[in-house]
Amino acid sequence: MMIYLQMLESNEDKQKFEQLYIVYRGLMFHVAMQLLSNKQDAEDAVHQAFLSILECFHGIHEVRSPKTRSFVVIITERKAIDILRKKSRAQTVPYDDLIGGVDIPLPGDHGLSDAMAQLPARYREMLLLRYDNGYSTREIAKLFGISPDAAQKLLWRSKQALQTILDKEGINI
Amino acid sequence: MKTFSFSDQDLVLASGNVRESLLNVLPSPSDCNHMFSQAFEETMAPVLKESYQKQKKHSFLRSIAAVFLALLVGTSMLLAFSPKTRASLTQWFREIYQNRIIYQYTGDQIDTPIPSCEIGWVPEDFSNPEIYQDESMFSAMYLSERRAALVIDYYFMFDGTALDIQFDDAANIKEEPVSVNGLPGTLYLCSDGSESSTLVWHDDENRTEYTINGFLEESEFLRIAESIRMIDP
Repeated sequence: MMIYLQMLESNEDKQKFEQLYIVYRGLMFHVAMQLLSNKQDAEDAVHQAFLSILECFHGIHEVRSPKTRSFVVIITERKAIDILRKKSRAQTVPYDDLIGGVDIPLPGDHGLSDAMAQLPARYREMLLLRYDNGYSTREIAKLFGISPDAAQKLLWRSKQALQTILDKEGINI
Repeated sequence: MKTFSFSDQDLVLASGNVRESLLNVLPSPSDCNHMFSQAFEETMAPVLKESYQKQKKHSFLRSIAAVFLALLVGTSMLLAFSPKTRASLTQWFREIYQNRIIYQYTGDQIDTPIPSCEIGWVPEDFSNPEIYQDESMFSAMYLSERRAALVIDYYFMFDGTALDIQFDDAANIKEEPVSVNGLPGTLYLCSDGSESSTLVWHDDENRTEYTINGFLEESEFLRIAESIRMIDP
C-alpha cells in the first residue's frame, strides 16, 4: 500500500503546480492589471500569488476546474490589493476592508448570493476560500499572510458585514 | 449572543453562485496571452523548482499517513469483538503528517441542534467573548490584551466533517494524552511558545468534538475544558 501510493501520487501530481502555472498565469496577470494598471506591479502580484499558492497547494485537486480557477483569481486579487495599499501609502485610500476588488455582477438571487457579491474584496475572498474552496482559517491565514487569529476575526467580520447587507436590504434567508 | 440568519450550508451555496459570477466576467485562461518579462521568468524558476520538492515530500508523508491509517484499520479489525471500541473507531480517525494532524469523522448527519453550553472558567485576562452558534457547531472567541485570542469550539462529528490542526514547526509540539471529565483527549502543546497550542477531546456517545486553541499553560487548558457544561435544550 505504501509503495502504491507513492507511485500513484508522483505520476499524478508531479507537475500539477507547473500545469497550474502554465494554465493560469495569463489570467492572473489580467486580474492584477485590472487593479494595478502597471505591468511590472501586475507581474509582482502574480509572483506573490504563486508563492502563496505553493504553501496550500495540496488543497488543489484538479487544475482545470472552476473552483481552482476562482482560487487563483482570488489569491491574485488579494496580492494586487496588497501592492496597491503599499504603493498608495502616501495617498488617501480606502481602509483595506472597504476596497471593492474585481467588479462582480450580482448573481441575481436577490438574497445571500447578491449580498456576498456586494461585499468588499477582503470579506468576499475570505468567504469564498472558506465555503467554496473549503480552506480552513489557518490555511487562509497562510494565503493572506496574516496570523491565524486575524484570519478567525476576519471570518467573523465577513459574516457580520454580510448580515449587515441582508438587514439593510430587508432580506430574510 | 450574536447569531446570523444564514447557515454554513447557505454560505456554501451562495459562494458557489458568486464564484460563477466572478468567472463569467473574466476571460478564459486560454485567451490571456501576456508575454511575461525575463525578470518574471527568472523569479518564478526557483518557485517551480521548490514545488517539485514540496510535492515529492508531500507524497512521501501521505504514504506514511497511509501506513498509520492501515495500522488503525488493522487495529479495529483486531478489536472487532468489542462493540464499544468499534463504535469509537468508526466515529473518527486521525491522519498524521509532519506539520499537520487531521481528524476525520464518519457517521450519519445529526438532526437535532447542537446544545448550548456554559463555560465556567477562563483565565482572568480573557473577556468579552464573541459567540457563534448554528445547528452543528459552537464557537466562542475570547480576547485579551496580554495574549492572542482564546478560541473554544465544539462540533458534531459526522461524514464530511474534519478537524485540521496545522503547526508551523512540529518539532516544538509535544503531544500528551489527557482526560477531560473522563473523556479521552490530546493536548498538542507548543514547548517554546512560538505558536498556539490546541487541546482536542471527543465525546463519542454524544458525537461531539471539542477544541480549545490559544497560548495557554497546560493547567489552563484543562481547567477551561473541565468547566464546560452542556445545557439541555
